[in-house]
Amino acid sequence: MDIQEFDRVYNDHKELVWRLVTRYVAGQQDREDLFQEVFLKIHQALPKFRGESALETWLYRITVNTAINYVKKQQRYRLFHQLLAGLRFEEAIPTSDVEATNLLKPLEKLNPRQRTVLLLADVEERKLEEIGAMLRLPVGTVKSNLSRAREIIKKELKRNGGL
Amino acid sequence: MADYNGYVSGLKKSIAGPDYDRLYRVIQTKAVPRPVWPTALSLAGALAVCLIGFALNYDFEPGANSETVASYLNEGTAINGNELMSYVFQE
Repeated sequence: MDIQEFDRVYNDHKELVWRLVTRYVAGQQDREDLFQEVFLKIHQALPKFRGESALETWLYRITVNTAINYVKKQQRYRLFHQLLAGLRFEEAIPTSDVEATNLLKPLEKLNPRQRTVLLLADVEERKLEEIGAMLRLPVGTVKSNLSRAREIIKKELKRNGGL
Repeated sequence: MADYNGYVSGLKKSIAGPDYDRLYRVIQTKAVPRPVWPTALSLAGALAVCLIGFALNYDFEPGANSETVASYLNEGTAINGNELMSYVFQE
């Protein structure tokens, strides 16, 4: 692969990827790990990128999919450690970034698709058609996921007194 | 609705970026696949040394140790005058 091409993608989109990554995981170490994972995937996949979609759409797709998998992996890992802590084999993992964790907590009530749609539509302010292209979903599905996600978050905020 | 908008604004706040240059170097190191052959070669070498050592030290001659009871079974001819055998088979 042309190393200059990867350098260009990295330099032009590192902030975008970082921004997305921070909305999926809390804690600097986890964020940096996920950031690296995303760019390793991009490094692997860039030679196969044929430009069927816009580069940014493609990057969003890779970032979002990698983030979803990372969160799932993290949840399994935390569950395992909570189980061990419950059995008093070890201490529970402390969460380093409390503020960020609290902010991301309501998002954990959403399924991966709802979470992604909400982040892309309301936080990243992307158009529904664009999100559809990123996630390979019909616009109708994006819309229904978005309204359901908003409902769940509002309910969650009400329950927790607005955070 | 105010709550929701406030929450989304919180999510929109950008978080200070990491040291991008350091992360770039880490990514480059991980992206270049490490060659497998040095590990494979060293494992094969260690295995070869073990096999050669075994072959040089192992006594392949059957019944070479006539002091053992089992060697009696492998002997083509009767073992006479062996202290151990005499002790085992003495009446």
